[in-house]
Amino acid sequence: MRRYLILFLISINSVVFFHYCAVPCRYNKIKATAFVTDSLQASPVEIDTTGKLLYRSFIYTPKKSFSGLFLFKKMAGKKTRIILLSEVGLRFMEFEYSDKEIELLYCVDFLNKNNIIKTFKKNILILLSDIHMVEKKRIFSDPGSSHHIFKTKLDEVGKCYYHFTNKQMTRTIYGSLFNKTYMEYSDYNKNNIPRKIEISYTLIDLGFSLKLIDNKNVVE
Amino acid sequence: MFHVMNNKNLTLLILLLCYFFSAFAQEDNFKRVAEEEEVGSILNQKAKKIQTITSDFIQKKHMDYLTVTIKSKGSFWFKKENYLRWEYKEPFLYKIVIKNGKIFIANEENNSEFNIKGNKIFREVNNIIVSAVKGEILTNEKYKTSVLENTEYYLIKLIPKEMDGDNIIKEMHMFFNKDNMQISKIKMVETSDNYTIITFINRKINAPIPDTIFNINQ
Repeated sequence: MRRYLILFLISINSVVFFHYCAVPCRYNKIKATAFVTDSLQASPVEIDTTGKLLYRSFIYTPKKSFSGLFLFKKMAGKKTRIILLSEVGLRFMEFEYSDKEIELLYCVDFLNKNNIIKTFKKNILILLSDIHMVEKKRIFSDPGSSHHIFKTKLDEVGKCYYHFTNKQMTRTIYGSLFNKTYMEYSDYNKNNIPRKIEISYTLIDLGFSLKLIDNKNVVE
Repeated sequence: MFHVMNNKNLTLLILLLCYFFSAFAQEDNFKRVAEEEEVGSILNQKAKKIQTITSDFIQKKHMDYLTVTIKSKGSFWFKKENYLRWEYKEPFLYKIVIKNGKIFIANEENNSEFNIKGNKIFREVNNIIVSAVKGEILTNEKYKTSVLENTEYYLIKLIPKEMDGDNIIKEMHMFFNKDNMQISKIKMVETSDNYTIITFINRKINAPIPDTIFNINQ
């Protein structure tokens, strides 16, 4: 009986360990290759020449869920403004992103809490940072397969893994061994913008879901 | 550019800019109404005859500093005394129903329910809408009010008497059509000077509205 219990605990530990690993084992065994990074998508959200993107957003917590709008607006230089709005049009939060740095410009009182702001900042950094500009990058690539993983480092986020399939970003994973954040990108439009972005956490019961409002008449 | 101008030209330019911006601040030549109580009394009389309102609306959120305007559309239903449904249909789905002291919200993903007393923002929005529809907006104790007019509209400006950290709206402007004294558009000015304009169209007064409209799942 005791032997079965030990075996059971060992098997549970193995499952947990592999589940929390950001990079599949088989990728770790492959040497970094001279893959041409320029042909890959640079960041999860690459704002096109119109300079505006609007996402419908949903935030899920154990007790409540909230909805709203997320606006990305390219500004002069390399700056981007990111604004969280209510459906009625009230501005709740505003950030400015510029060259791997992010600053909070405005936050309504009821959202002005350190952990909320930190979470938003990290997610926005991942969404907008250009992987070609991020230092300490290393490529894990499986020859003969269309899957590639980049290991990068961002100051405020730490180690970060960008997953690609057919040169298109599908997933970003960051965080510590037991507390990871998963950001999934899917359903790309013709401008290479993901229509769907899902963010989830292994330890925190919190989730974000962004859906692109792909109608040019909505944002002028 | 400025360092090559002499002082006289610079003063002239500043005066011109001041004139230009003050003209915009006047909101299309609105002037202060002398007899504000009279306007309040007409609004009150008209409102007493209203049992229901059905209307569509177009909302434009203006963020001038970003040169961005976000457009959305929807419908609005009101039934005396305090039944309200506010529904966005494009480009997203979002419904708010206020009845019996409760707020029901539904979006594309889920439904939720709040007690109106526990949610300051909705309590204020409900307070303003119900006061406006009942014609009691000028006697609302929570706001400093002023009445202006141009040839087409009466403009009632509402400024909260108490501003705390939760106040997002700095001013609310309500435009009443002079022909029928019905609310034509609402402008919400935020503390950041962003603003949202909601314009009401296809309005029907006292058309029957079934109670099921105020069911959030409808």
